[in-house]
Amino acid sequence: MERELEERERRQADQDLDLLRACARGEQAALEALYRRHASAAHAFAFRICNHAADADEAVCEAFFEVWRTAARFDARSSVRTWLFGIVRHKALDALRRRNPREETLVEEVVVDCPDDAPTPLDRLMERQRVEFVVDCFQRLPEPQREALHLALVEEMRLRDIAAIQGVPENTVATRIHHAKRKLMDCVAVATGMKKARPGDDSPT
Amino acid sequence: MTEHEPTAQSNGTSPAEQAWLARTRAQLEQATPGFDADGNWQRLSARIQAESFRQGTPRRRASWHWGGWTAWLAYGLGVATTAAVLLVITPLREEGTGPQTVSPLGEASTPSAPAGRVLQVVFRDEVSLGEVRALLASLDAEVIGGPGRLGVWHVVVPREREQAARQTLRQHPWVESVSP
Repeated sequence: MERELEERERRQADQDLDLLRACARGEQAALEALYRRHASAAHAFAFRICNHAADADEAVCEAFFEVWRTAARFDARSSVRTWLFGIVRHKALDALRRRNPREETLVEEVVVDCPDDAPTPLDRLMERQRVEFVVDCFQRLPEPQREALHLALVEEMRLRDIAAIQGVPENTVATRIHHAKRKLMDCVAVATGMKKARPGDDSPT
Repeated sequence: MTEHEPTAQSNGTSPAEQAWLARTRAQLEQATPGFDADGNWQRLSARIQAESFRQGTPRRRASWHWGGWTAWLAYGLGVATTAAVLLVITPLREEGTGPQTVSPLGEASTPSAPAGRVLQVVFRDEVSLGEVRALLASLDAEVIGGPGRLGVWHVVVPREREQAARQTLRQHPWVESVSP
């Protein structure tokens, strides 16, 4: 089973490489194929970094434009997907820096003020709140930990791929993921009342 | 990739933690906003075409400057050849069919004009591409070029909405200038 998965991943990586080579030759259809394969995941990753849908759109657009311009310079030291996510990361971080930080504080306020005005059954309301708690706690994680956990959890990437994207050693990535998981668990537990908040524990940062 | 290499999140985690992570993953995916893949591809595609157009123009101009005197020589030869052809062909045509209306050659190759009014718009630096797209979409405007080095976007708006679109853009806080 795992062998099959690995074989499929390898085939997909080879196809990505073929598409990128075609991009380097100026074939726009190849870029579109590459875009169709990865844009949605790239968007989810960008959104997780900058927490702004329009900025995530822009980051993805910018990243694929960069792929188009620099396809001929790809040195195949990592997979195309890893390389692409590295570009998306830079673009999303640029967008995050440009964005007014005032909007980031709103995320923290949501955790404190639980939305409770929807006339839905209690279990559905609690479930909805729990999603919001998880998302808000996730957004509170320090940015490098947030990236690492997203790539590990949602994209199911390996340590070495995440390390290549973040430009740090694998051990650092492993530590980031470990701390991110612990902080996320604690934050959600506090937010849902399963655990008491300690002084200074308001934010997992 | 080594065989059976675990993914980063599954590395040394208990079944309970795996379950919690799977649930968290599902919740995160549920909370991610939808992605308009087609709309974004259209935008990216337009940008690539605009960029290739922008890069093509200076290249042609550069070759013209580089070949200064050769370009003038080629132009002169072209004019002389055209004049010679006209001198030979025109009398023949007049002899054969009598007076005719001659339409300029340029008419045949003139590209069709855009189906609306072209405006040149400069947006403020802090405005994102997503916001530009949203604003232009609300005016039924379409990007046909730019942004160039000076940040000028060439957009075409429907003729019947030209005045309203221009006014909206001029008054919009995201827009720095609109011309004409």
